[in-house]
Amino acid sequence: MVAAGELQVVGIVQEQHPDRALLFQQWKGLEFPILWDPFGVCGVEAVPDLTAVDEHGVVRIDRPSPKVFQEQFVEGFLSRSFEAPGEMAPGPAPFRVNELARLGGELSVEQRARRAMARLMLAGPEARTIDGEVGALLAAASSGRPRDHFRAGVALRMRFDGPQVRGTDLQASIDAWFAALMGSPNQYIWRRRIQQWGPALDKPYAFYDWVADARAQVQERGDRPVTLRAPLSRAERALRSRSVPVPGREVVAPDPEGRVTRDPGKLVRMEVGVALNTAAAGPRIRIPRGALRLHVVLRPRPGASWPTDAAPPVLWLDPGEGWLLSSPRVGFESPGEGGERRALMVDLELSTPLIALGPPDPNAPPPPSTQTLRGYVVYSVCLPDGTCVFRRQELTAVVRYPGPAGGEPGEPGEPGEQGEESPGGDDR
Amino acid sequence: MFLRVACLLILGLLLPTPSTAEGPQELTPASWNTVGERVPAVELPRIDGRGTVDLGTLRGRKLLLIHFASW
Repeated sequence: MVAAGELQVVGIVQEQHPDRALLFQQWKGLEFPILWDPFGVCGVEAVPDLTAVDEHGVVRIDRPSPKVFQEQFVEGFLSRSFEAPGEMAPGPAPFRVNELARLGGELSVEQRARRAMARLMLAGPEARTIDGEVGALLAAASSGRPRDHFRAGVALRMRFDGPQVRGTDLQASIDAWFAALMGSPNQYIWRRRIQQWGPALDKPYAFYDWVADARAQVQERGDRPVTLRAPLSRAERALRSRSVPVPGREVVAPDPEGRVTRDPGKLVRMEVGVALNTAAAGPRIRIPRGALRLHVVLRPRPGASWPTDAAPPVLWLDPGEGWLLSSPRVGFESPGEGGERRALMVDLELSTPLIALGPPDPNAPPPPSTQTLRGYVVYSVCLPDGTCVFRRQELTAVVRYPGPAGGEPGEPGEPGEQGEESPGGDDR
Repeated sequence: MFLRVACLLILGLLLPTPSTAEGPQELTPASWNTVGERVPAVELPRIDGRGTVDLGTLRGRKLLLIHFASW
């Protein structure tokens, strides 16, 4: 039907990263154009969603059913000629990226936000004006509207993935998405955006476990697989799990007596993000608090670099009583040849111990709204003069629980916690 | 009477139009699945970097629109 020119197919993906959808398209041999809508301007709340549109641009079938394909789609839609509609009532304001990206003059907060989304969709994380666009979307999010929170989160994550990253972007993006989901808990796409980086215990399925197979099969065909710009985290490849992390064999702490010289962040910038399980986005959540995924990123400061002949960094976590994790010691990946300046990332799952469910105790005090996870990272890093040293940097990750006990999700960018306020540009 | 009405009319024209607190009307799922309604005027970039596609210009042939994700 497509080859015969009777039908055109267009896909629209809601994902944060278009290159992953592009790899999927390459792997599956999809030949129709696929468009990118990371900000959810289409307003869709769940995927997949199919719409059959006639030759005049009028919707004729909502969600064509394979069960009645012949009758509904072939006979009732494809084989039929539809009359041109008469005058129709104007719909919502059009969203055209090229037009919106060029908006100028005095603009309202909403117009600035729409322009920002358009510019980011066209230029991606490398947008030269990304700081301004993030600012515009954060300004819109001050409205408190869930969709504006979501869009601010998308922009913050884009900046995290790009050269202008700030130390607080990782956590700020997650916090913004959580704020959105708290306002609209039935928004399936927003929930998935958090679950993508969240704990395996909260995943409905693995998000990107297909990537390795896709790359291998594309290579077998003699093609070069699409390069993923933003590396996949372990969380994004993790399979859905219903097993609580169980401590494995005893491991040795890399610096139990604290003898390694401290790096206060002058050589390597540490960024931390906590992705809670989305069940926390509920009206009244008491213990157990469930699982979370802790993300840690190490970025060499200007002039510093990773050595290519030393063991990669190691994270040691001592979360304290009540937390379960498979191992307190987690190794980062080696930077690899040519990766001396790249950011290294690791993520791990923690969960609170399971407790017997029973009627809630109305006299019990509300659980704390925040908890602090502590640990440290040890690493070899080379100074600008070529000298390589071994250093330790302390880790503090504040877990903020939304809900009545915790109030609003924590504000992003609080100094001294989980990264720094200074923009990535100032460090370079 | 006529003068009073005329003054009120002129005053109404001069007063600023109240802006919508919500801003431009946003698309919803109903924008895509209400039979008989025109598909929204949306232009989005292609993921392969080959420009953009404006759904409003896809006329003359039937269209199957698929909202999906690779996960």
